[in-house]
Amino acid sequence: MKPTLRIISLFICIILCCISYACVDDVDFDQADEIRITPRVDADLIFFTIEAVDFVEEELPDANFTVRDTTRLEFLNDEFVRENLKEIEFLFQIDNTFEQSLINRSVFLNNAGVPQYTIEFEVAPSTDGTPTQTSFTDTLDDEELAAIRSSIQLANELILMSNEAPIDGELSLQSKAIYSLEFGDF
Amino acid sequence: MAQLYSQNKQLLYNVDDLPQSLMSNPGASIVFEKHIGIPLFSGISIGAGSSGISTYDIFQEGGDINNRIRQAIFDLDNRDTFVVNEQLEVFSFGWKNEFNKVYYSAGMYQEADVVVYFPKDLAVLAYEGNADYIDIPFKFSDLSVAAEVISVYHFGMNKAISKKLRLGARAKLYMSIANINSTDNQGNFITRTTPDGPNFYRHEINGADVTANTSGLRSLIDDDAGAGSLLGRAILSNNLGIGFDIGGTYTFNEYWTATASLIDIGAIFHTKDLRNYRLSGTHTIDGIELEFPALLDGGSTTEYWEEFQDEFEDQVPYEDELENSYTTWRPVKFNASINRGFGTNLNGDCDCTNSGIDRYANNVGIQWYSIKRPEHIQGAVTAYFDKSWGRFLRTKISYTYDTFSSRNIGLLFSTKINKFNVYLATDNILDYANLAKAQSASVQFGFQLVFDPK
Repeated sequence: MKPTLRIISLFICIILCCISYACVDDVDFDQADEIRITPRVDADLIFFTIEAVDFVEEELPDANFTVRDTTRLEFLNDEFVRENLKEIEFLFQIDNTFEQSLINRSVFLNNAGVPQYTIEFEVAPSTDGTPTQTSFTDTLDDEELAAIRSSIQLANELILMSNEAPIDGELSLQSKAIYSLEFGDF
Repeated sequence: MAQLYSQNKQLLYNVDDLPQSLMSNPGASIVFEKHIGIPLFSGISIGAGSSGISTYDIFQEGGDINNRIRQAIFDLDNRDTFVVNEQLEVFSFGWKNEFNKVYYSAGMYQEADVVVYFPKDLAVLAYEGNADYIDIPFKFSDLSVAAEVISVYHFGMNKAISKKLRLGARAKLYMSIANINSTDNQGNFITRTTPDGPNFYRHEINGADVTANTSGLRSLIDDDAGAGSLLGRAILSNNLGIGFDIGGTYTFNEYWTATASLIDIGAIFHTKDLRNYRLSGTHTIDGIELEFPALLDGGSTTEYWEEFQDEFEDQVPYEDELENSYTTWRPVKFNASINRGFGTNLNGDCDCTNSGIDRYANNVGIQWYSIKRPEHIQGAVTAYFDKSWGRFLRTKISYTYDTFSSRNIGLLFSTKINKFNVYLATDNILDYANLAKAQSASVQFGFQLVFDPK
């Protein structure tokens, strides 16, 4: 064997020795299937402030007053959200100086306007014209999430329960939602 | 800094009978008078590394992988990097001009280099969401990626100016084959609590300016250009750059020498086959404000969502059809060393071949290496023992220290029979027993003809 070939053979042997010595141990790449990313996104939802003039008298026997508005929330119907949403927690906070109690009703609707899920709670009246704060939390389970996944609009309605006191004051609503997502199957 | 080894060729530096030493110091003290690389096989270098984390850290057997990923995200920071570097000498040669005593060297090599900084804030936002990070900004500057595939034509000169000083320089012409560059990003996203605001929070995008520049990719994606196009660009690219290396060796006395070099001082100008992506602007969101219009027509909705989207797109536009020229600076490297020779003087009592420089069979020394990366300068220090076993075999063992590894031992074997030289250098050999635990590994090897002085 020529010296040059001998050198090459020697180095090939060294490289082969390194390769055979080198190994990857104590690892399990199948665990990649178990990887789950679970972010929790905390985001504002809707907000508003209304006064007495905003209420419209309903033609109802108990002479209640209502305000109602609707917005699209297209991210709820987004494929990414629908597939990965695991939990939603809604939080509403209302400051009320009306001396009447109110009902806040947030209705999630599908694209055809059909209600899918409703959050309803009573807003405490003010006793002396100073703000009374009402908080309400709703955490949705799996069955309720299915309703949210098919929703794309949110209608918010406030019903003022009239009494002897004059209808005067201001109401501010703040709301947010914490979306718990889970991604896997990378 | 473990990732440095992918570019830090500490085992080839100062090895005066290897032509590759000229690539890390054009002013290296060399002892050969001609070299010809075996095309495509004279210099092959592959290295990869990640600072702060190894494959084992994530994929070790047992336990919960999700807990380990979460721990890794919090242990890493925005200065941690993932690096891959590959170099392939296509051809190389050099010769000493007997009249002016200048050693000329030239060649062409191909290089791929990828550096990805760990985007700490964005990773936390993606992995955890913002719910537990109210009032804490997520910085877009954490996104920093630079990847390039280039070929380089080079021509260098090396000359002993005096018995004590040898200087060298190398001119380089860069051909960009493909480039992705997203650095210098700015701005942040923050969710602020607003006790006096209209809603619980204010979501703010402040001063966003996130840009990704690409060259050489649009034609691959849109026009389906193939391998022939890439090969053409490697030979002659529309996106050219220029640069140079400089270096020198200073001999203090018969035992002590010092070296220093600056490599890849240059830039590439990307002017063709461009595509830029940009997200920029400032915007605040409090949620959707309902206004309760007096009259609503049945089930129709006020166009709050549409306005919300339009306003966002106006304030924070995303542009993906830009074709702006841009410049990327090559990652400048700095090398320095101090060396002491001892033992047998290989040049004998009368040195007639190397400007009167003594050349010893044994050498010990310290080397410093640093590289300018997009976000900061990284460095490593190496101690070595270099021994020539006659004309046949040369070995070098090195110990390199950095923040993340205190056990990086490297080995070089270089042998020559007649004019045929083969070398093999690899570091982190202690981690070869289980590469999953290694944060970096690199290997360099090659075959070439090296001609000694007659």
